[in-house]
This record gives sequence, structure tokens and C-alpha cells, in this order.
Amino acid sequence: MTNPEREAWKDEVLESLQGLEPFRPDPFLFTRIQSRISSSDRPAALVARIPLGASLVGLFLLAALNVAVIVQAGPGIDANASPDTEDAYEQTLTSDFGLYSQ
Amino acid sequence: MTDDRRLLHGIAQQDQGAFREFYDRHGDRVFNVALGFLRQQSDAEEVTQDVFVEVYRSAQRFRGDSSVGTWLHRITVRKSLDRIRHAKRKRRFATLTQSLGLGTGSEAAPQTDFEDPGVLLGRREDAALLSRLIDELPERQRTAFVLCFVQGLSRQEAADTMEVKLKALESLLQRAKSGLRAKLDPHFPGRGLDVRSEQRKSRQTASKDTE
Repeated sequence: MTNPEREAWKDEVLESLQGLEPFRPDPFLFTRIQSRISSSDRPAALVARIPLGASLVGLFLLAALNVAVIVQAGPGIDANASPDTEDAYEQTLTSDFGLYSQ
Repeated sequence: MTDDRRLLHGIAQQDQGAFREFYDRHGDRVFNVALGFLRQQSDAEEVTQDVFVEVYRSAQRFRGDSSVGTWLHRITVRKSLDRIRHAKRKRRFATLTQSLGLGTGSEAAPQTDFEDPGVLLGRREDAALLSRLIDELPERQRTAFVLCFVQGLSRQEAADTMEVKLKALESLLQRAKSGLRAKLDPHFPGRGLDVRSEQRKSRQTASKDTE
């Protein structure tokens, strides 16, 4: 059974959010939006400004440096080196750099 | 070309004047729609920012299938619902960490700290209750209800915003209203009086039976 008083109250509550007074946001909101756009645009703009050629040259240099290091370090990492050769190499190192000398 | 489309064209060319004019035309509306969903001024301002940042970035992608107003409403509703979902996830996580004794509980703020500045003072209590109950509705019913009964959009505008047929929107509104009515039952202020009168009636019936 419906209670008319209760139903009227429900109608009243259901209408309580109708006809809200339009409210104005913070007057500085647009400035905040603009600063957000400009701050988030900066890294993208920086990336966009680097030309493709410069990126490729950079990559090539990096690869070339890696190859040069590997080639130079080649004898030092020779797995088949005999123990005598290794001892001689260590002695050269200690004498060259003055290690363990007092 | 309408003014809005001309402005969007300007925004796509990064014309700051056009962007400012577009904001002046639609900023209040976007803010009030967001406020209708979030009931918090600060949250609504955040969403307004998100909406206009998206407008700025995607102005060139506006195809013109719908009106600019509908397109803006759609973005605003999506961003508002995203924010609500995010807040819900945060609350759930806070409750979980609290129950495990890991959190401080500071994140588990009450769900609706009602502060809509547009609500008339006399209606504030009812509006706060309704707002809390709207939060419990399924997302699509909630969207339909807020767009039509809070924001006062026409049925057609709301249907376009939600990308549903008019009939589907009517059905969502019907379900939202009956759901809210059912949820309002336990909150009826005269409930105590009702219970007492029902008890009196049942006592009278019982005494008649014994006679």
C-alpha cells in the first residue's frame, strides 16, 4: 500500500537537484588550463625538434663506440690464453701502474 | 560553418584567441555538467581542465558527426565518470589496506562530501541525500538521470550524448527513478510515525479478534 505523504516526499527529494543555479568556475581556470597545456607540450616539442638525421648519427656513433671498445678489449678477454701469458700480463699491469709497490 | 566549428578550426591551428573564445562560450556549461556528476567544486574544475586540454589536442580530429555541444558533453561525461571510477578504486584500495592494517585510513574519505554551490539552502539536505543515492545507481542510469534531471538536457540531447536511442534513454530514466524511489524508502522522515500507526492498527485488530 502506498502512503501519499511518503510518495510526495519522494517526489520532493527527486526534484531537489533540479533547477540548480548555474555556478561559475574559478576565474583563473583558463590560465590553469593554458599552463597545463604548455607544460605538457614542452617535452613533446623538444622531441619533435630533434631531426631524424641527428638521431641516426647519434645511434651510429653509439654503435661505433661499442664496437671499438669490444675490438680493443679483445686480447684481454681471450679465453684460450695460457696461464703463463696471464701471469706475464698481470706482472706488466702491476709494474706499469705501480701496484703493490711501497 | 558555425561559430563553434570555426573556433575548433582555429584551435586546431593552435590559435590561442580561438581557444579563449571557445572556453568563454562553453567553460561554464562544461563545469556545471561536471559538477552535476561530481558534486565537488574542486573535482569539477579538474574535470573542466581535462576536458579543455583534450579539446585543444583533439580539435583537428572533430569529425562533425554530432554538434559541438554534444561532443563536449560526451567528453565531459566520460571524464567525470573516469574520475568517479578512479575515486571508487582508491576508496576500495584504502578500505583493503585499512582492513589489513596497512593504511592510515586517510584516503578513505566519505563518498559524498556534498558541497554543490548551486543548490538552494532549503533543499540542501534533500539534495545531499539524493546525491548519495544517485552515486549508488548503475553508471548508465546515473548518467541518464544526471543529464536529464540535474542538468536539464532535453531527452534527445541526453540520448545523443550517451549515444543511445531515445527509447533506451527513457527506459534508463524509468529504471533510475524507480531505483531511487526504492532507495528513498528507509530515509522517509515520517517513517517512525508510520510504524507507530501500523502498530496501533495491528493492536486494534488483535483486540477485536480476542473480543
